[in-house]
Amino acid sequence: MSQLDPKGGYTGKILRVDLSRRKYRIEETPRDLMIRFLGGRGFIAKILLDETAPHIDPLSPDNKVIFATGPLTGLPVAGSGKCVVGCKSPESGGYCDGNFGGYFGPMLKYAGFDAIVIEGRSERPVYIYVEDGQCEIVNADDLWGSTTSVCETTLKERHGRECAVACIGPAGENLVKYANVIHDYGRAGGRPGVGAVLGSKKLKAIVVRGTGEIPVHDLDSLIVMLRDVVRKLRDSQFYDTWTRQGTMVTILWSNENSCLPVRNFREAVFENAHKISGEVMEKFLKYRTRGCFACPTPCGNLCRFGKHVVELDYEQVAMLGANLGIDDMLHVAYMVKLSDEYGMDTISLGNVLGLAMELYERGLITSEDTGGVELRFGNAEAATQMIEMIVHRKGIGSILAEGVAKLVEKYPEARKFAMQCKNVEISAYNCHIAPGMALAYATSPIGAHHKDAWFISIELKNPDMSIEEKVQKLIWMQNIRGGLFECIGTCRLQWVEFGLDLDYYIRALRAATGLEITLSDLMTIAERVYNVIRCYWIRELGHWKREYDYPPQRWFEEPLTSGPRKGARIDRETYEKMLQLYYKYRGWTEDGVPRKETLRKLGLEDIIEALRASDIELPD
Amino acid sequence: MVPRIEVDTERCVCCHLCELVCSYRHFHSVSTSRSGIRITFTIFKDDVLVDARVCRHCDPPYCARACEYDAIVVNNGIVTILGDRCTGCGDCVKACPYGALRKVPNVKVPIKCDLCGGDPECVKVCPTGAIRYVSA
Repeated sequence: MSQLDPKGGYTGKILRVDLSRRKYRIEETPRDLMIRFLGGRGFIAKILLDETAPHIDPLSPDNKVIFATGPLTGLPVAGSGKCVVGCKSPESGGYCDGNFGGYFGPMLKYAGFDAIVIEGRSERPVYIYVEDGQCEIVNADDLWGSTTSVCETTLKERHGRECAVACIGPAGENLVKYANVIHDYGRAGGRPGVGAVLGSKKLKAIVVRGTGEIPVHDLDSLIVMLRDVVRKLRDSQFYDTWTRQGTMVTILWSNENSCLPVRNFREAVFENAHKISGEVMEKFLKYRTRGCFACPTPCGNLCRFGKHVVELDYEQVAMLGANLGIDDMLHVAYMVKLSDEYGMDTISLGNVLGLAMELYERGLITSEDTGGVELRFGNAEAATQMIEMIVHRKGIGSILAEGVAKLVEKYPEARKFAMQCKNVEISAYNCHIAPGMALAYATSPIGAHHKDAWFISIELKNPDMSIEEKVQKLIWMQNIRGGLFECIGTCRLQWVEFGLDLDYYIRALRAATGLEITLSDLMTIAERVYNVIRCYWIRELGHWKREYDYPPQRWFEEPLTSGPRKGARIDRETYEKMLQLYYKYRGWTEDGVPRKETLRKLGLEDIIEALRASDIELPD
Repeated sequence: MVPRIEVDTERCVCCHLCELVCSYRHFHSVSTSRSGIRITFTIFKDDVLVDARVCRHCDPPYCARACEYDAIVVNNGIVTILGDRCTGCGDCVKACPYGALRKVPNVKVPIKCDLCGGDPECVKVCPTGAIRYVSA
């Protein structure tokens, strides 16, 4: 990439709020950060590594929470509504981030900031109000304890309906390890405990109001491209189905392809999948479609049941439905509603409850432990009761609130069927039949999550792919999804679901920033981001072991016992080979540690030094 | 019937694309606040409230009546603010019962819909067809 300064796309300012001293400061966005790390995840990873001391307690004032936008966030570019939020995770002890749509990111840029860095800890509950280059730290005693929708509406009544609100719910306040941040009544981000870290800082919400402009190098070109893309996507054959069901189309797809998580990932075909399918949602619950900022292909399924309004998507319904053996769509919707209101991640929640149910059925947890709750698969009542116990940390709920890893610690036998990587719970793709997807989970830089590489569809479509090709494709996909999209600030679904050309994003970046960016520049940035995050993990843990990049045992050892793919499991040898290749292609050692040479090639000499300062010498 | 923009709030998905193209067309700017159309989404007491604010070009216009400087006129049914007469006092913003005008920091003249000369940009960009142009 050229060495010139960006001429647009960024606001050029970062807001830094110190909650301990109740002070804020506005800084220039460092040029180096923009040029070498682009935005979003890139900003967060670099700032965390640079600014936080090694081995800090994630729930201490030393941790920092960073909300970062990308150079395309808020611009007239398809799906430009993304904001990434990250910190050191209290669940995994390593790096974590999550992106959420809506319009918080765009508003932040209209208010004049590329990112907010939150430091310290407040004594009393507070929220941060940001308006056009100004910031205020406001008392939030009255909001503490409120559910996310009540909190958001209250703040909108106070500051105007156009404000963007990102807040935590009671789960974050009570330090549930998979509490997240909720924006716009159901846009969630930060699975591995960002909500808990905000809770520990006593920060209930951030309210942003921005009426400013974002500078752009060549706006005319952006608008021409936008019009063209909107027309193309709207005329696409898939548009109708997608806007009616969104990601919920995946329920039946996963079931047909034997990759739905069923009863704590024990099986991959759910006998009652048709009862929780996209069609059922569309017919009986859906009430309207909602989109994020600048989205031409809106996929938010606003559903109404009783007096509740809730948004449903695939991950939530698969994890709280099939994975718990629950086939009552209304009940699933109710549980999703509860988790959104309490501000906790539906994926991890479904996974934790799945494990707890399995332990209960195996007699490792008794009804005495659960306070009389019959925690069996399919028992929706029990699951709902357990959600309340988790959020309010009552009885066994207090252990479940710590995540799957804590359950394993308490019940060592649970190791065999705990579905996690790096202590973060697996999301809704069962991988007995998909070693490539298992590798994607195991090497995801935030712990098990699909956002870096939704590899399963490519893998199933090309069953004859050699393992070399598979690993190369996987890395390519991680670099695009986890690198490019996490950094530029747009949604990836137009590319994933509608085949929108990657070239569009590159042309948009050029028009926005005036920099001659190429795909290969972006791939370098992605490599940089992956290496920085891996180095952050190594610095925090003090070492790295190959087994940290292993998927759960269950996929190796317990073949599917039902469905068309009965008998399928992952072959351990194949997996080892794939992991070996993965390390090789990434330029890492046999133990998954980045080599100095790799970092030097990416211009990351500073990272080598940073690790040396923590007594870690990377291999040559 | 006066010409105007109508928004079907049931179909609106709140993507704000209309605001983006409006700010481009009228201010050559990226700024959703510099837009004659404004969409908000709120959930209040378990009810979804999508609010679309855009000038109805009412006849006679409340805003024109409130203007002490005769800066607001009706041209072929289109309510227009004359920039050279407007002082930016904001009386029209307060007078509009539909909240369709707005003052933005650093912009003197209140911002409102002018129907883009009969070919509104917002109508063309709306992905769900929720925005309609009703001509006279």
